Amino acid sequence: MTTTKTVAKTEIAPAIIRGQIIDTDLIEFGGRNGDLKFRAPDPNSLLGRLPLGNPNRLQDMYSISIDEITDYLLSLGKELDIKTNKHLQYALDLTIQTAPMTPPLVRNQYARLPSLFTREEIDDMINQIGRPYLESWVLDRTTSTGAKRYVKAFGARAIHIVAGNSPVLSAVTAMRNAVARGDAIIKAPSNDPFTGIAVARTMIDMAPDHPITRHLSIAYWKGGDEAFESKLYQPHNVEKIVAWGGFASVKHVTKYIQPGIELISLDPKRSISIIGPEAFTDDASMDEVAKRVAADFGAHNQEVCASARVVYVLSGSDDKGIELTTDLARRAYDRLRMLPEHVSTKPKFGINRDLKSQLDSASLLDDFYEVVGGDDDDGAVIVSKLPEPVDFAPSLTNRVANFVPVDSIEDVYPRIDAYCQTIGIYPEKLVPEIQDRLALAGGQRMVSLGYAGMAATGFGAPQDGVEPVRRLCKFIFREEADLETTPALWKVG
Amino acid sequence: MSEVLAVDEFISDPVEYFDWSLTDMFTMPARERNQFQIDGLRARFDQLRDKIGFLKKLADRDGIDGIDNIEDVIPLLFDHTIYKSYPSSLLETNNFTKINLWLSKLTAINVRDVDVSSCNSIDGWLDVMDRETDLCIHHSSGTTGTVSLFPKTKAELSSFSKLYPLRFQKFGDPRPRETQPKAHVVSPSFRSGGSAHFRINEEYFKRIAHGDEDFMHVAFPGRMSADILYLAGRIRAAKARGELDRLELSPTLLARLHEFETDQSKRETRMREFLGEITTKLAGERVFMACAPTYLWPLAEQSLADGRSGVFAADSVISSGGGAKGMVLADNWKQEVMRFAGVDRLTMNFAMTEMNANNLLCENGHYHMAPWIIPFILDPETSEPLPRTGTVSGRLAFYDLLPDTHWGGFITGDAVTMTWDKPCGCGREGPYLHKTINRFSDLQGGDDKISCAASAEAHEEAMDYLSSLQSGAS
Repeated sequence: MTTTKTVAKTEIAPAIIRGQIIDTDLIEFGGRNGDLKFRAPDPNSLLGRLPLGNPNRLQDMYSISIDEITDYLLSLGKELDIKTNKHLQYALDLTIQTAPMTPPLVRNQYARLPSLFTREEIDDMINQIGRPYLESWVLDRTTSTGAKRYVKAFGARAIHIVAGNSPVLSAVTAMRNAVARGDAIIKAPSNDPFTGIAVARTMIDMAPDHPITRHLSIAYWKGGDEAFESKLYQPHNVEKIVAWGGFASVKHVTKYIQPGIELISLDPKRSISIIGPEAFTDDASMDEVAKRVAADFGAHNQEVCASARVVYVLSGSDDKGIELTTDLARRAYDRLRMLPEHVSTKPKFGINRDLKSQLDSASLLDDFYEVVGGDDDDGAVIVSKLPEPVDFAPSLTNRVANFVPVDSIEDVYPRIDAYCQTIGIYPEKLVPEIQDRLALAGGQRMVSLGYAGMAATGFGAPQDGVEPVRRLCKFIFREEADLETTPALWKVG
Repeated sequence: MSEVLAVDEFISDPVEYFDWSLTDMFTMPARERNQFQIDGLRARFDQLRDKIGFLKKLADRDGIDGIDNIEDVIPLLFDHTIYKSYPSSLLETNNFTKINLWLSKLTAINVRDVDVSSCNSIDGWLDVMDRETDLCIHHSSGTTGTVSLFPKTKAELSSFSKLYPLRFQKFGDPRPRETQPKAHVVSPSFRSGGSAHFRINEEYFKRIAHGDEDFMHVAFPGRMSADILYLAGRIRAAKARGELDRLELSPTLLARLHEFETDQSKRETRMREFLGEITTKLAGERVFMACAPTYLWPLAEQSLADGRSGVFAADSVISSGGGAKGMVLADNWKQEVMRFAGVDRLTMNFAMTEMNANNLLCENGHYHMAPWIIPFILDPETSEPLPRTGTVSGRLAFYDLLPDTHWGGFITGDAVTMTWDKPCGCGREGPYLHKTINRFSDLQGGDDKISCAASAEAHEEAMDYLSSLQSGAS
């Protein structure tokens, strides 16, 4: 039975609307995993104020330069220091209760917030759009007839339905919105209702009247509250909806898509790793690979889309290959348990019940699987003895990976589809041979084995193959024709 | 009869043990029931411990060599997913030799020595297994692309099916002189097939129609093919993943799918004909009809719309159970079904392929557990047993004492509420389930838990969504 933890008082998750903190008309909501209830303003009481309304109200974002936006974000990064920021400290205590990850992992996510707001990171995000396009009308093309095209990137009014499995995502959203010069309404996730509020409150403390502060709102409503959402998600209120997975939430949002509203879908994803035969060169190479692959499926306790779930091992699928893969699996399992505490821990609630029963079944099926670990609820590796993933591969979580011995990389391609985000690869020399095929098959991000959970090149990367920062913008163009050289439509004869 | 023999009969042939009396079956005194249950459980464990591979593995792992208390069996209960735990590719590639290797760990029947290497369809494999072994494997419908394969024997099925004639009895009445009255069997579906619904038809034929084909009335005389059901599930799954082009299907199967789709489109016409046949030919006759509300309600609705009510003899048995599977039923559907049939009760049954018992709904709205079923209520998260007193809610698990070749210990996917020791008031003894029963898989998810990582639920939702789009477009 899930028990409801009694808290002394019900915490309040205020709504923040463009610099205003609203904590009236409170009603109660239940948090994720049933262990925290909180109160937040009745969303219906916010409906009149939540949308920006007239898009001309974005003009103030154009009174500031990209350099000023950068300066703002740099300052914000300094303020988002968990050691000194009271709002973050308060949110961290609560988020530890609501998050699917364990306290050390949540603390680490909070601790890394300032690192997202460095000049390099901000520039990287700006460059996804193109700095000149944010600053001016860029002469983009001149045709042979002399007609000129100018393009400029404009921000839009957007709703961001962010995922709650990583607390940094609200901060990333605030940053993306500032760079794109948009107006963002963040729908706080039920499994992380407090982090976004802490970021927004920090912005208010730092610069209450700054246009960036005045174009960020955050509120909680129960996802799928159709009466509320159907009023908010209207073309006169918003132009774009950024929907992070799960499937149910993205599917639900598609109901509201109509002419005038664009969906930027960051669908639910899973990830894999691919290990070449070079892993088995010697003892040292096996250890190296074991360490790396453990990080691919262990980081973030396998709670995020980038976490590897199935690991294809090019060991051959014969008895010898199965033996090699099993050896690697044992080493990886040992390495999993040695990962630093801020990277990976024993899962918060052990191994999910349904997965545990699948794992128990698999451990009985020794003709088909070898299960390494799994006894003490602290992760496991299932080695397939057939060259294919377990049928329950989509349910792998809580540090449970499936190692699949295959004969050749050709056996891997058909297993990759549009759900496949990150692919960790070893060794590096395998990359040129396979990268295009992996991309065509559906893979969206390839990394050196071991780096799946790191976002090593930051959040300015073209996430999920969609360049979300770029898609927050509208690219408006102007054509300038020269009457001397560009044929006039109205010219007779 | 010595006590050992009595326990033996109680567990292997309970209907005989209760001398075909429904009233006796459900008024077994608690003390006696508890004693028989623990004795029966010990007997089954001793008998099967080393004969069922998966059980042996679990028992070895936990060092369990005997049963002292009822709850000792809990670590040995099989999760419901175990009957579909074979790698699904084995079925896709018709690798029935390996399927049998897997199955051999779930049954005491020797299936490894059966040559199934030349089987190239599930139907073909089922035929060989039916012919060569004591098994009559029950498969599930496989709507999500995976099929459960449950190794029940013909003898177990036969012992279980003696329960069906008891439905002609009314609880509280003394044992009737004629315990197995002959009646017309009405089945608005296929005559045969490998899933529980069709396996049971052969038993109805034997026990209700007394082997008289003129007393069998089925809408579709043929077989519900396991291959087609499985293929339909796989196609749905592949379409939902956008991988239909990657699905490898043999041309012979594809031809049969076409057949199936044609059948589906002709289905409504045939059902109308069937309704016409049963309401005219069987008017005033004693019938036995046990089917899901999804079959029963449309027939009743149509018949009543056609102005035909009170169709059958008043001592007919009309019985239903299971969910509506998405169909919207009228609030008063049960009354309407009774009005259509002309009977004054509709027997509701909570049952599953894995349980050799009928648990019938009483007039107070409770499902009473048959005495050879030892129920457990488990904590849904930890699978720890909850108290066997008072009223508790959780996951239903049970030990079914009837089977002697497969393990009767089973953990369901059902969220239930059980009252253990407060008499229901209907006169029946023993624990009972409250009427509302949900699937845990339906209770989870929903809400607005958002994660960027795709979950299995997400995949299933995707499947439902895309198949609804697809059916909407066609």
